[in-house]
Amino acid sequence: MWNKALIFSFLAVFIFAVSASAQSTIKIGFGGPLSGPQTEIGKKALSGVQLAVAEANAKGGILGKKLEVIPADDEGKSEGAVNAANSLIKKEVVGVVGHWNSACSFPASEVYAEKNIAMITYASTNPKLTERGLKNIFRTYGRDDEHGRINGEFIVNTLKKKSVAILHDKGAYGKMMAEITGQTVKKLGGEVVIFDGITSGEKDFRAILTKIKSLNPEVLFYGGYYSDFGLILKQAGELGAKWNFVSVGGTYDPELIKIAGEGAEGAFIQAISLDAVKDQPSFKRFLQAFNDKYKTDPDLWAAIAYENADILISGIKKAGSTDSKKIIDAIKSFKDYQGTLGPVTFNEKGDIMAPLLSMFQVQHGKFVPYISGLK
Amino acid sequence: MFLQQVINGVILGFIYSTLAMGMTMVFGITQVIHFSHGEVFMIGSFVGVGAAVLFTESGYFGGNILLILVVTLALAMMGAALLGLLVDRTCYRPIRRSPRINSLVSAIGSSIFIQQAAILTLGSKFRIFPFLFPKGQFNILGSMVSYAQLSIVIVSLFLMIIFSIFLKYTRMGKALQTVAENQKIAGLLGINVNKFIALTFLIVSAMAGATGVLTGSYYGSVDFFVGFMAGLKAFTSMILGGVGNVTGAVLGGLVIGVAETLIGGYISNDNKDILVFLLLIIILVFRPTGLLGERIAERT
Amino acid sequence: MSQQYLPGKWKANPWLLAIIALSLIFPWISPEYYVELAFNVGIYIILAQSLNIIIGFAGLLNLGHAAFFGVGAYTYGILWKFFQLPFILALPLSAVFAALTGLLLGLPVLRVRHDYIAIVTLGFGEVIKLILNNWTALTDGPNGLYGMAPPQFLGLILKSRIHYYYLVLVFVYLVLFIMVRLGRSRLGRAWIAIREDEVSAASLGIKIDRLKLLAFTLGAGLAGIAGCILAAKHRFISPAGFGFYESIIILCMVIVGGIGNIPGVVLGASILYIIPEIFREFSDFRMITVGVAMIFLMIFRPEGILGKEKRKTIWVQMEKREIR
Repeated sequence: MWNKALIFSFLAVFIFAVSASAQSTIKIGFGGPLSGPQTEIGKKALSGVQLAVAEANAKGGILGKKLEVIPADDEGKSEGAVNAANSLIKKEVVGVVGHWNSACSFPASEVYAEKNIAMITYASTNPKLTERGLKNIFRTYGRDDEHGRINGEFIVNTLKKKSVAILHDKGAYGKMMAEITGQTVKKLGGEVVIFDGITSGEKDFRAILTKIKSLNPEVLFYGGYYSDFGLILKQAGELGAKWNFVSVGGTYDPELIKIAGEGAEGAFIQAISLDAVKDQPSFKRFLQAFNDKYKTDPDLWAAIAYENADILISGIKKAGSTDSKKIIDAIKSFKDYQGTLGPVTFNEKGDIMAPLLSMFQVQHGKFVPYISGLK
Repeated sequence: MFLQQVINGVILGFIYSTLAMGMTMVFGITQVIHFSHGEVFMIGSFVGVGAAVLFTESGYFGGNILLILVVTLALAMMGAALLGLLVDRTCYRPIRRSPRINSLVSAIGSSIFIQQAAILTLGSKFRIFPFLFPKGQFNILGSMVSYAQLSIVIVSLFLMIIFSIFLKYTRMGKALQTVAENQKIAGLLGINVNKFIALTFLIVSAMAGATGVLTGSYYGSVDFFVGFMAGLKAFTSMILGGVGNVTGAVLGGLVIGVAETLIGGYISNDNKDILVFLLLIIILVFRPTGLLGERIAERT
Repeated sequence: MSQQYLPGKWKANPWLLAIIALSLIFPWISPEYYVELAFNVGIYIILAQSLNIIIGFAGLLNLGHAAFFGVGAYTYGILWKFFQLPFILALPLSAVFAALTGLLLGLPVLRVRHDYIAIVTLGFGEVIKLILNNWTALTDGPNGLYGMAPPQFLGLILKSRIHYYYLVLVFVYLVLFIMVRLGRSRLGRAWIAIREDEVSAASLGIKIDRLKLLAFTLGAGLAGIAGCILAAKHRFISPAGFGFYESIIILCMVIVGGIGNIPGVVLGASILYIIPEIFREFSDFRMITVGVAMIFLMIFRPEGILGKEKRKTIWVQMEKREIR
């Protein structure tokens, strides 16, 4: 009995003690996977946001106050996202850079919408995210339906190949990319000889690759991330496959080439890439600042999250207040805002107009732009 | 293509078999499902990758691949064995006398702990494992077998044979079998049961560590999440073959490996895990003690 | 025997009344964030108690409980997707489908050796998650289902956190009531008899198989209810939230509280949900703490926080006299 009472009172004290927090900073929320298999990605993105905030603070903050980043871990799951969103609201953030998975951005955006808080996602690509009529969502990465369409057109129109084998990792992103690419290929008169999924994290793909080899396609398209695709490329090479490989932004990472080794040669990856902007002054500045602070190069997510934070901060400045609704309006009104990665304008759904998509090819162990400015 | 798929499956099966063997030995002696065996395997591969990368890049052994492989195996086996002993000592031994459910929960806890501890200390990125096998492949009846694959089979078989010899023909091995069969009698005979259980953990963990190196080098990359999957496949193989039954574990591993590959290649790769699980359930319904029957110790 | 780990008769225990009173006015005196927290705790109390039936009463170690949770949630999601079925009708159906899933799992469990139960249930949990993920036509696959309508009672649409809090509160009390009544009923005693000594229980005429199946069915059904409520509140569900880690967390809640111990499990669920939320900044360490907690508890206090000594030996008897 006493145990119970003691425990309860402890908890009560704890909870109320923890909830006391300073009001004197402007808080920016960050949502992303900070635990679980995608932790690395979440951490990189967070580092981008933290850099943007640090820079703004070095310039004296905004509206006379300093900025503070409040990270919230969504564990890469939708329940985690709801919890993360609620914790950010509790901390009274004025805007959020997040989340990563579409499965997280979806429910989190509804929570933020209740309080009219802007959510700028750096990676959620599910088209439906911006089709629900919510006014507080922005994204700078682009949508799967467009990327998928571009992939399909590339395969049939540019590479002039007709028979395609499609694999995906059963995840929301990979599978959707696979489906949309497949639909586009079929619409353009091509043939999808097989459509199957692999289990992410499983190492051995020989079973399905051997099967695909027997079907003799011209192209293998993969929707998913680099850790699995690297192994697929490697094993396909070992099996002597002579297909063209095409894949998506999730596989665009130097680690891909490390894992795949020679198997990666000649593979085409469609991605939004830092390589396409590396000569832009705004990007160079970011690169330098990132290196100064973290002693390493930023990856794509860090860069995009940085840009998002930058957009948010500018939105606050333009709105001239911490009223989150005004901030949303301010961001909506940006025309060709000079983002880190290029000009940014959002359409009424919150999607970015003209994201910079390129097709890369792996040549001699490096990603080389093959076609830039894909639409 | 069929033969090729079977070959693919057999290679995979050998990996599962070696792990399942270890798990089944532990179960035979302690009646605890050694949940963290998969994580020991994972740690073995990480020790291996650290060593292999160090040796290949620093040129210590003059680029002699075979030597590097042997040393890496040795180091990984030692590291894994140590971990296995630690797990036994801290998570299983204190509650040996308690109900088995407690040990099972503790086992799950230890598995989660090892994985998370590794991630926290080493970061969650994966590592590239240098290729330590002879390159090239040869042709059997129209299908390809690479020397790497052959090496895995050879080393696995080697480990299994050594282990069997140990069990059957050495004094220690026979004592181990006695403990496995009846702890009470073994205790009465003056055998230190705990020591032998520790010995079992040492042996099976070393084997898991070796498998970790082989697997890591074969696939070329290691990450922290393979332990869970490997463990799951190993349990399934163990149960399929009959717990406590070492030969059963080997058979179980091969069956699972081949079944998985054939289902993935011919029916659906998407759903293959579901179908393999279904297969397990069906077999268990008709043969609840597994394919080759069980061999469990009488507990004190 | 039942007095050892169940609350006594309905005496006017002042602490109990105070807690009940507090729970009724809680949402009006607390900030929104805590009401949200309380809602989630409520869901997990229901989940943990439903697992408590399977593990605590019937003695079957179920490592795939999140599957039932998922089936309940997806029942609402799917029924909404195809038929726009309102919550009121979907709720009992969620319970039914989840219960059927429980029955389905119970069947192979009956046939396998005691030690395998953990693995089989674990595998089953993963398989259900895979099915939810792959059967795209039904479940929209990994993208998840969204847009389920909020519950509507007599014209009142549940919107605010306070509404949902009361919804879950009703079910928490309902489930607790069921648990207490079960524990003291003949059924409950039969379960405990099976758990303690299967051979003797059988010789007393207790239908072992039927009762084990009943435990699974009932436990699963209650978990399904929790799933449906969660789906209604979040209005977005995906397979990722119903996997191994969730099952382990629920298991831990039961263990921490004390297997079979009803108030203990309430406490276990609360602690295991609230503490990670308090220490959000240390989310890195969440899982590792769970792992360590499991090991420590088994070594130092296997009967859980509120458990009584006797716990430690109950399972031994069960193992010794198990029948197949």
